[in-house]
Amino acid sequence: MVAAAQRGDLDAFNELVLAYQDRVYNLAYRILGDPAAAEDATQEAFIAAYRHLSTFRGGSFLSWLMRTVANRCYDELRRHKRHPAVSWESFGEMDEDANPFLVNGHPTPEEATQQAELTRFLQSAIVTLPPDQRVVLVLSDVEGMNYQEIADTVGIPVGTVKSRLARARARLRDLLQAQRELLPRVYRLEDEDGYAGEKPNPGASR
Amino acid sequence: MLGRNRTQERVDEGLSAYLDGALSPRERARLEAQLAQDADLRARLESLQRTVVLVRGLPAVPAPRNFLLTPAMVRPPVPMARRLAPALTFATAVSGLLCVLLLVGNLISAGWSGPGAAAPAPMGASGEDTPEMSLMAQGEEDGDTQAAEAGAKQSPLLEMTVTPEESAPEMIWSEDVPHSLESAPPALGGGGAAGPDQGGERGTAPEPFFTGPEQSPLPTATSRPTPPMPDEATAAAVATPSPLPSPEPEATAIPVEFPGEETALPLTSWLPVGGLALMTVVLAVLSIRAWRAR
Repeated sequence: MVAAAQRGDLDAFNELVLAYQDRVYNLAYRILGDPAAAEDATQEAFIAAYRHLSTFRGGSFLSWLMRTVANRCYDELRRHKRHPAVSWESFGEMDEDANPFLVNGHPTPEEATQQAELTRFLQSAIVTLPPDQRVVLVLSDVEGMNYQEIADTVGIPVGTVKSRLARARARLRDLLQAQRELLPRVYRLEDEDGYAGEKPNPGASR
Repeated sequence: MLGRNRTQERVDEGLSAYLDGALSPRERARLEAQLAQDADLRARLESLQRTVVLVRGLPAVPAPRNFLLTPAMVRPPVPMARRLAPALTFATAVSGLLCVLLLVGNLISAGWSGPGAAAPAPMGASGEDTPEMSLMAQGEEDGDTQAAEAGAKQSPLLEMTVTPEESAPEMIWSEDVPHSLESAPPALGGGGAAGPDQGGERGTAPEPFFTGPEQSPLPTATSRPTPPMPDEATAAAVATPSPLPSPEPEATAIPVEFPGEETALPLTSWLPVGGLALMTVVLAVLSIRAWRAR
């Protein structure tokens, strides 16, 4: 299908669009934090990918596509110095109907509400991160890329990926701890009864 | 303070890599030894791990619509040169039109002022005669010989001063055709009136006097006034037996052969036409290249 698209078959490329558009949009949304901007970035990324299909030299087409999207989002963030789409102050005032995460899963109403609050809180925290840290965090903890894949995608050394990811996580942790009263109790980082959560299991969370 | 932050960053970097299993066995063993002894470090690791777990637990957001591409979306973008093509074409048309209009205008002016150009020349000659005569009269009346002396000092040959001094007034008067036409009869009359004084004119008194202030050494220009006024021309020619042969033949030949085809427009009138023509050609070339750009 990729080979057919490389020969200029637009229908074949549109098959790839249908197959990957959810992943592409999710990545764009997590990085940009704004549905409209994510839509634009997704569409532009697919157009750019089609025009530059000749540069695809094989391997994982999804990785190549995600790299295209991430770079486009990164450029967008740097070009417009995009500010957070939502602020900490507006966290409690968001429109419930505008939250796209409510469509997933079938939890109980109380669980759904808590999860919705958490996802909104996390997303609003992510978009407060500097663009370079935000992209690395999303590629790692949302898309599940390893350090080398992130380095190839963003075009930075692995050591830089490591430090940026650590700073992003630490900053996010500090934000969550500072706003702990806004989080549902079950999602707070520190348990008030002294329980500090499950024992860390390095490498198993990926 | 900065050092402590830097140290904490280094600690968090190690903990983050530990969570991802990205530490070397040696680094991992050392960190685990520290974790076993340091409760704060353990708490720090646990809070970081819970943060990562929360982020990784974010639900996937489905695409709100299909992002299928259409042929119009993937059409190659129009190059900048191609986008400029209409504007360049319009500029070419405007420039060409202006060039043609200016050319026609100049030709019409030349056609109308052709006879006028012949007229003002004689009028200029007559006009120059008028001041010349008046000046000459003044010179005679005042008995002013200083001008003659000055002219003699400037050029020992009086003939040399005669022709330029005739040209200077001609150049001035020939631009104003109606005025010269209107002034012609009085000038002629003046010439006639000054007829008796022409002998005095030949006496070189007026010529040096007039050449003093505005002396333009253009012998060809001096030839123009002579044709319409053959009497004056011949008089001047006779009065000034110039050693330069060129002005005199032109003075007699040009007006006789082509009295009405002389172009009165100066060269500066044709420069804009040439400039516009050149600009039109350049714009046309640019337009063609722009339309062909891909």
